[in-house]
Amino acid sequence: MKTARRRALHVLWVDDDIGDVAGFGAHLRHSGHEVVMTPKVDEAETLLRTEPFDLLIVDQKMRSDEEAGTRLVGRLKDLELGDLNVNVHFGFFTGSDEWVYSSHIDVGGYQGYLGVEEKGENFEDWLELKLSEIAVKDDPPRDADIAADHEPRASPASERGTIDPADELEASWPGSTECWDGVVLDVEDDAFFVRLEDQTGRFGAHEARLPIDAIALSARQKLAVGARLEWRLVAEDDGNRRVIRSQIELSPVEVLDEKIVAAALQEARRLRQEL
Amino acid sequence: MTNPPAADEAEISLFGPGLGESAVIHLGAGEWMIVDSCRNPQTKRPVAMDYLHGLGIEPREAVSAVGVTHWDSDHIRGMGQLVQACRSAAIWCTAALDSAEFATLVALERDHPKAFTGRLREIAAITAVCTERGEQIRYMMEASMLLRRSGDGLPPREVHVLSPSFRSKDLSTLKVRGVLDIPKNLAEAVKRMSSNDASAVMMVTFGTRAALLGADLEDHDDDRCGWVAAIGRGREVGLRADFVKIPHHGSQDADHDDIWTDLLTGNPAAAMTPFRSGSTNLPKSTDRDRIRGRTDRAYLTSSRARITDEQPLLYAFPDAEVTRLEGRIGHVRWRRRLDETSPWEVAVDEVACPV
Repeated sequence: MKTARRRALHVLWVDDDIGDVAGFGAHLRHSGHEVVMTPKVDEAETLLRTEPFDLLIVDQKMRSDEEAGTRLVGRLKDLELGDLNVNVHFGFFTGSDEWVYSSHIDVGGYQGYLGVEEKGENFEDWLELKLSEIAVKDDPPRDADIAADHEPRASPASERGTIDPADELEASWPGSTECWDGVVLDVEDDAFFVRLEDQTGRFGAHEARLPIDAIALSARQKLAVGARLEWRLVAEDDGNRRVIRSQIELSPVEVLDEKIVAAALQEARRLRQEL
Repeated sequence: MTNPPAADEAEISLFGPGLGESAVIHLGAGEWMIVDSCRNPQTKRPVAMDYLHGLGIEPREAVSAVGVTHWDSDHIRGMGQLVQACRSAAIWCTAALDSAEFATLVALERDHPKAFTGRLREIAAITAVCTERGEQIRYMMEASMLLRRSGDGLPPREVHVLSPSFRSKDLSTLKVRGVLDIPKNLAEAVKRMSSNDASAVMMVTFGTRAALLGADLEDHDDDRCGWVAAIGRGREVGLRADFVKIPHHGSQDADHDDIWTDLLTGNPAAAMTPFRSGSTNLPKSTDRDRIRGRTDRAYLTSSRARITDEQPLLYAFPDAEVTRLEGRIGHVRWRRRLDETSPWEVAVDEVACPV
């Protein structure tokens, strides 16, 4: 079973009372992360425009402004600070979580939102949990590892590639099964782009850019624009943590014979002449 | 924003969830026109339908025209359902679709869905509705007129089509013919076909005033296409619009100085939708700066695709970049009296915002 190994993160911490949080910043540095701390929102904005970060930790109330933190995040996510950090993970470390929840800027919907923690002794535990939620991964599995992990089961229509346990993750989402039907829209060297429709009716349509190694090596020759995809995701409790298991089934795109196309064109021309 | 306009009021409502666009226009005297379609993720219905129902208006009788400016999926989601509901409406599509070649693609996708990505599904649905009704799709081309109303005590209203140009239409047909020549790559070839260059731009005139609906038309190397051609047609209408639906989500490629100097009054009322898909995020911050330099009355239907509901597990997949297509719908509404001087007045919901 593969387990996640955390990589060093580049963290920006914005709090008007740096002395209040210096110890937590030191804890992060001790854990191997690079931490930039600033008491000034305008300085944070400059940093967010110019330097890539993995994690943004924000105080909410700064200099008597109870919405300073959510306003900063809103400006970032609304592209007012450029594109560089628009997808950064972010969380609030603040005196009162009510200041965040009651803000007229609803940050809960932005991608990358990790939540709110009130300043207190639980911060380190909260931070540990959030760090584990940020995208972390072992080095990509070698082909031999994928072959050893997979148990491909042939079906009449397609070959099934099972990724579990190569993609076990820690997550904090409620337990559920998700079923997505998708179509591949683009294929790159190391990723592919897919449009997904939720078959459970809960989430609506999404698009996702996924790493190539989400598809079993043996199924990758089917990966082409127009290929159909069925994706099942299950969140399960494994002891004291939650893991997500993933299974992707790929069906190849249908290739039309030239004669079919020629016949269709001839029919279309005939119909237009009739009109 | 649930009160209908008065009979002597014009309204232009723009809807957008982050990926998607639909404009609902009150022409006066209870007559409506709808341009493009996107879907409400909660109801699964076209947002234009939900909006009119919310005003207590039945689309079946009140909508006299439905326009499809181009066939990008963010502009036609739910269009089949919409034209089905608008029983009295004339159905207009960009003339780029008016060819045997394009009809072939639509028929092939209908009959062989696994050979395509679903991009033409809504066009097939529109075609089926027209066939069922025994009607024909009408095609929008430069210098044509979509409708004309007068003699009802209100200023005369006309919808002038400024694009696509004849040259654009020909180029579109040639492009599709080229796709049909290599059928083994059909899914990918159709997926990659751009339809922006043959977008239908419209100028809606209300007496001596006008509104410009810019669709997704972009600039083009050939002056017989794109905005250079459309601006030429716009000058022939002889009016400057005091409202603009900003083209192509505010992108640089769709901005031409002469739009603002020759087709628009100073500081026009404006609305636009964002486009967020994959790594593409429009309008960029530079686009917003540029638009703010053109007008200080521009509004965006959605500041960001915000997800306020439970997030699906796929967001936790390692290294996945996920975008929700059908987020909360934002609404920008501009209204004014149908007279010579009343200003446009804006109303926005909690999702929309100034640019």
